[in-house]
Amino acid sequence: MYTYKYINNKICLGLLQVAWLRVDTQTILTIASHVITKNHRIVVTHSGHRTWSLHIRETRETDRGWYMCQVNTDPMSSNTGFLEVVVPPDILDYPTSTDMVVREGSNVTLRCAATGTPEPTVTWRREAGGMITLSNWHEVPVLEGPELTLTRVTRLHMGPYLCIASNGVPPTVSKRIVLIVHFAPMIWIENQLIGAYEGQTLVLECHSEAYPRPIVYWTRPNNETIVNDNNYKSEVTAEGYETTMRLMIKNVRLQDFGSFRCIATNSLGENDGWIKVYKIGKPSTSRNTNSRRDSKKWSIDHNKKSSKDELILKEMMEELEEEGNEENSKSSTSACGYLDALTLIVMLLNVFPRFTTTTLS
Amino acid sequence: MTDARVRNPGSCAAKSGNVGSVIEHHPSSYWEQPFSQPYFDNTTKRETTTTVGQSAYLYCRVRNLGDRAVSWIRKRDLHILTVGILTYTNDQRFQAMHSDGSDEWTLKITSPQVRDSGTYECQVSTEPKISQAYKLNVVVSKAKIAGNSELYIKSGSDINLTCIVLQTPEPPSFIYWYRGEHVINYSQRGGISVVTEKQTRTSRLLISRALPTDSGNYTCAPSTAESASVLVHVLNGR
Repeated sequence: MYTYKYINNKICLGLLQVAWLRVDTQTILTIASHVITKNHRIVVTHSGHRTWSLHIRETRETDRGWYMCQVNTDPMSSNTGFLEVVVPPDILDYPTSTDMVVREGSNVTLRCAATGTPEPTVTWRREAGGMITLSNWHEVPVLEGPELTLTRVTRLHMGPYLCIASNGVPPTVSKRIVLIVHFAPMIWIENQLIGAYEGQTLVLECHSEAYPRPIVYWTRPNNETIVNDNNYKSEVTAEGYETTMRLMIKNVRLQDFGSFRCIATNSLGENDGWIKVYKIGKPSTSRNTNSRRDSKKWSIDHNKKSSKDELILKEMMEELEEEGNEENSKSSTSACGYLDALTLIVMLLNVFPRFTTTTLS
Repeated sequence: MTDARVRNPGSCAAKSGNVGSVIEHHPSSYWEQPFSQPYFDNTTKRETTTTVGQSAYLYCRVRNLGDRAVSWIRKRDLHILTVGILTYTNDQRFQAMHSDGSDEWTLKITSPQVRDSGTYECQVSTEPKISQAYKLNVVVSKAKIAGNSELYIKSGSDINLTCIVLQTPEPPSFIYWYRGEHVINYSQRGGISVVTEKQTRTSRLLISRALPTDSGNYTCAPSTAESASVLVHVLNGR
């Protein structure tokens, strides 16, 4: 009779025995100091005969529920207690949204499904602390709820969103969902009319907003597409959906007077803008008498913070110089180029009205 | 069958002596089939009706028990009744019956009461547990004599009493008729006939040409039910 072995000691423990049961499943766990169930995670201990403790090792979610402590009095007496098993939050791959691509003007809902006990709360944030723009143009840093609905999406909505699930049980988890907004290119130009004299060095600048990133290029007044050579150097910088394109004309020639066009094309459309370069007379050298003061002033400004245009011009000049002096050794090129560029800028500032105005204003 | 009653504190020493020799014993089938899981033999009756005072038996049959224990619990309040052959409850009417090596673990409830009606569970200590529920109905069986509780009969007429046993799960093994305190003695007086039909659970007492001396309290007393009585007055007529 192998069943005796559970009870062998029990008989002599005393008249009353404490038993533990799982209420939900109506399972006998322990009686006195004997574990009845074959669940090996269950242990029972007691101190004296007053306190009987049920231990559950390696707790699982399924252990959550009511437990009964029973004493075989007549009539039987019992007490129940609830074991809550908490579970840190987890974000489910489905139906949580993956990266989304939508057209500007359409609506989009980002979803985030999380499990855990207690039930986690889901909050939405934009990465790097940005604001979430709601349909009523209100901006909020945080939004609560498993769904983030954006109506009439604009390019400002583009970027990574964080869905954060927390329920007070560490660790809190988050998922990064990137919202990509597609829209056709648009172009804006600060200076559409630029006066220049022959031989001058000039930078034309166009700004474009487009996503996916557009293909951009320039055309000359004769409608030819510009390729980089000794005279022209085009440069594109892009950040997010913003693209800045610059064209440097190193030495303005007669055929450069006219309208340059900057063009941006992506899968959704094309747009262009015009910059007209018109001819002005070479400024008289008499301005040079004032120029010492101007240049001095410029150098003070430069020490504080160079204006954007000056830096652009400087950088582009450096690069052009490098291209032109390819036979020079690398080290000397950079050093000399830099110095040359500086002198050139100083010179330009003295002679070129636009920059002069900038520095003086 | 072994009636193993362990709650009796006096049995403590005696039982442990008995137990010592078998603690290390494992059934050979357990080692022969180490991966076999216990299962219930489903041929046993799962719903039992018994009358108050008639011991009730719930039969639980488990195959491949191995080193697991069979327990009985009362589902209503989760009261543990027995574990193995040992009784946990202090209600002495419950006991487990099991003979060595058999697959049967029977719960015996002596002198059951109506309040014992309900569901009992035979539980095997596997993880997760396996269990089988048994429904027990304890009913109060009553005899009833057709007609009024008092009868007035002219002398010389027949006394005709029909007794029916209500709510009995099984036909009564016998039905006695009493007049007053005594079982009616057929030989004492002629003209008495008793027809008892077990199947219909009825008994008919016929006393022909009754006399005032036949007056009295007639009682129908079935073996498994509460008895019923009728008062018979035999009137002096001309």
